[in-house]
This record gives sequence, C-alpha cells and structure tokens, in this order.
Amino acid sequence: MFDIDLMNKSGLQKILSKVSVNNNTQKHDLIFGDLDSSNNQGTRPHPNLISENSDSSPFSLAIVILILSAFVSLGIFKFNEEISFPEFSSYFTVSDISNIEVAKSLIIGFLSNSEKIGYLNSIEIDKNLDININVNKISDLNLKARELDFFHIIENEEFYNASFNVPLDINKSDVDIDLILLELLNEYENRLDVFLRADGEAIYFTSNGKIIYDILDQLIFIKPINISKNSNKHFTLKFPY
Amino acid sequence: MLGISIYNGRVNFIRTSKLRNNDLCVTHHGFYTYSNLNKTISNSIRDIIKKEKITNETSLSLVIDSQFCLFNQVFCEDIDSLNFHDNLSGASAIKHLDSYYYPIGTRDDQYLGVHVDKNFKQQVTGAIDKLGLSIKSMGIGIFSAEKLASSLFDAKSLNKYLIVRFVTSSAMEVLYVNDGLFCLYGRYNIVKKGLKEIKAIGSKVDQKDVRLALEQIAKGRKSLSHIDRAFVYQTSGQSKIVKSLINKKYKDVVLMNLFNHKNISSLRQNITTSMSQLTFAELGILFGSLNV
Repeated sequence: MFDIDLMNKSGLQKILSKVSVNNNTQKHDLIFGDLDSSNNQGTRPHPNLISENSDSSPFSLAIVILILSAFVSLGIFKFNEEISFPEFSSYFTVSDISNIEVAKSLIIGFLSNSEKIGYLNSIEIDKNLDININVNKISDLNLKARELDFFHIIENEEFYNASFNVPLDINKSDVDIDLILLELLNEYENRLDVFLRADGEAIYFTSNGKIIYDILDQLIFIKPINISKNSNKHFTLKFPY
Repeated sequence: MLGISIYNGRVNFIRTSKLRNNDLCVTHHGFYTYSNLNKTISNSIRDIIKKEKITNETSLSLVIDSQFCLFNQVFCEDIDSLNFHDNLSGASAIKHLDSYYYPIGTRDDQYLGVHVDKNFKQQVTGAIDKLGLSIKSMGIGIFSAEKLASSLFDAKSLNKYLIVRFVTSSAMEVLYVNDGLFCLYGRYNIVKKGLKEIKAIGSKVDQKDVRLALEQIAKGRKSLSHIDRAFVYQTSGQSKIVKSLINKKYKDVVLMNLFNHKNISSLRQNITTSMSQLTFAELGILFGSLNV
C-alpha cells in the first residue's frame, strides 16, 4: 500500500516498488502521555524483549541444569567459591533497554499521568546523577517488568519509603550550561504558564508536568536536580546554579 | 509531530513526540468544532497551536476528509493517454481540480483518480502559511486510516483486509487491500434490503468479495468468509453496528481505536468515549513508521 500526498505534483503517481513486509524489524512502543494511568497498561516496555526472553529462557535453563549436573557428578561444586560462567554470560542478559529510557518513561508517567501524579512525592537526581523517584503509594502503579528492577521498598513499623532508584551512568561534563540555561530562559521567560525564579543557589521552574519534563530533558545529565510537587497539576524543578 | 485531520465543521489533532528509544509518545490530542468549513479552515490550526500551547512545531501533517475529494477510475498506460482522458472531460471541467492518479489492482493500466479542488487546497495551505508553518504531507482520511491499521493493528501481516469507515450510521466508505496491493475503493449505503453500491472502483472479483464482507458486517456477523479482517471506525454519528463492536474482541472485525489498540479490558471506555476515540483513526499517517 502506498502513501497519498496531495502536496505532490499532480498527475500519474507511479509507485515504483511494493515495500516488502518485514515483521522482524525493531518494534517500538506507543505511549499516551496525557491519558489516564491505566492507559500505560496498553504499552509494552520492549516488545522484542518478550520474545527474546521466551526463546532464551528454556535454553538458558537447560545449560544451567547441564552445568550443575556436571559439577555435582564430578564433585567439584564448592559452595564457598566464587563461580563465574563468562562463556555463557550472553545467555543471561536480561534486557537491552537502557536505564535512561526506563527513567524517562517513569518520569513522564509521574509528571503527566493524572493518577500517577497523585502517587508522586518527589523526583531527585543526586550528585552521582542517579535518579530517585519517591512515591507514596505502590498499588495500581502497573509497573513494567524493567521498571520493577529499580523499585525499592523500605518498610518498618515507623517508616515507609517506596522509590525507584535508577543509576543513569551518563555525565555530560562537556556541555555549556550557560548556553542551555540561556536557551531555556529565552523559551520560557515570557510564557504565562511557566513561573521562573532564581536565588543565590539555584534557578526554579514552576509549571505543568509536560513543560517540566521538557526542561528536565535539557538538564538531566548535568547536575543534581530536584522536582517537587506543588499540586496535582504543577511542579517546581530546582536546578543549582 | 503534529497531525491534523480536517472535516467540514471539525478538526481532530494529535501531537506525537519520538522518545530517544524511538518509542512514540502521544503528548496532545483533541478536537475543535466550527460552524462551517470556512471557519474550520481559517481558525482551526491557529486555535490548536495557540490553545494547546504547541510552541515547538514548525510543520504539520494534514489529513483531509475524503468528502472533499472526487474519485473516479481511468485506464491509461502513460501520461499521453492521461492527457487524452483529460481532453475528453474538457479543459473547463477539470481546470479547477488537482488530479492525482494512483495504481489500483494488479493491472498496469488501471488507476484511481483522486481530484481535489485547487481553491480548497490553497485556502488550507494559505491558513497554515500565515502561521509560519509548513506542510509535511496532505493525506486523505481513509488512506491515512489504512496506515494505522498497518502499523498498530498488524494489518500488514494479513493477505486480504478491508478498511471500513462509517461516514454516517448508514453510509460506508471502503478501502480494500489484497496481498499488499490497493485493490478497491468504494462507497456503499446500508438500506433496508441490504447494501446499495454508490461507487466501487476495482476489479469485479474484488468488488464481489468486498460486497459480501460488507453485507456480513451490515448483518452484524462477526466472522467474514472471503476477507481476513475488516478494520472498522466511524467519523460521525453512532452506528449500531459499530457500537456492537465496542469492548468486544472479534478476530475478523476489529474496531480501530488508537487509544486501546491492544483491546485491553482495563482500558475499555464507555460507548460515547469509544466513539469519540474512533474518529482519530484517520490520523494514522502519524503512526505509519511505527512497528508495534
């Protein structure tokens, strides 16, 4: 099937070739940034991952059983020794989704999804550029498998803390912070839906979730950042400067 | 990317943003209504940009309602024979139209003629120029919906599939794809005794198969005999046939609800919301490159 484009030159539209269908190409996800939280259930963290895991798991299991059987039968299995299987390590790869992709997907959800916003306490990027998303409720989060890798709950009689801790492992040390801030100021300083403030230690952006995410996207790999929730519609992003 | 579909008194819009991992995020969607076409053309895009606070788009993809186009069938082998056809029509009859001819079916000489009023195009492009935006592409509703079926509903894996648009509760517009080839464009009305063909452009064999499938759909059947699957949506009104498909899972007849494309039970909405969501199917051109 071809594309129709009425901006093309009129006349005979020759379709030179029929594009062959390749179902093995990289699959992607569709995310609804401005819909209800439940809509994220319809998205898939990484479609290929599912098939890859389902293919490799029985194979991995078989190899592990074979190796364990060999060790046991040969009597060389010693519990206190460190064991590594470098030649098989590729079979145990869990995912090829990067941490930053998981972090961004989580942040978009907690800044734009009306239900998830209610669960958010704060988002912090610390001095090691690790992201910490602190939440106050864990039911109904509908987490994807990869997001669960970063989910931590500390709970005792007096204390309850649920958060996602995602190490980013990226540091844009060579960026021109002045230039980025200048561009951000140019873009947002006259906007009625963005409130800007600065004091001796930081610059503060206050706006809705979508805009705060756009700003965060510009600043994410540079310095510690704090995003606090003012209401269920407005957030303040603090960037030290 | 910003996509806008234009109808007589309404525009639908969707804005998507590509994430770093090439996933696509729908950041804005909605519609605006107007009292007539002139107001729709002159005000809608400005309203979307301003009221939705879309500041970082420099271009947009347009989709126009197929009701703004005329369709016919021509048989010609080259540009000279096309000129011959045009001369037969008379210069005055076609000078106000931009005419495009797309191959249809397996024959080398069969074309679907798509004709759009030059003034209408100029009005639309002028309104967009005024806003300092450019037009990436200008598609046609049901052909854009086919892109959605192909990308999000896996139509590309099927041999024979139909795109069925309920223009109203009783009027249908149809596009048929067989083995990856565009094979039929048609318009039909549902009448008491069955189906009335208004226009069908394509081979006789395909016309027969499509008619049979449409009759089965009109009778409320949920399985089709000669076609793998029909992808159904509605742009105006609330057809009983379409409503009967909402929140149901059938193999052969599928509703093209972009917002619940996997038909997950927890995402199901009531009838009014679902019918509203179906109207966005014609912005499928925005998802053409997505392989979900």
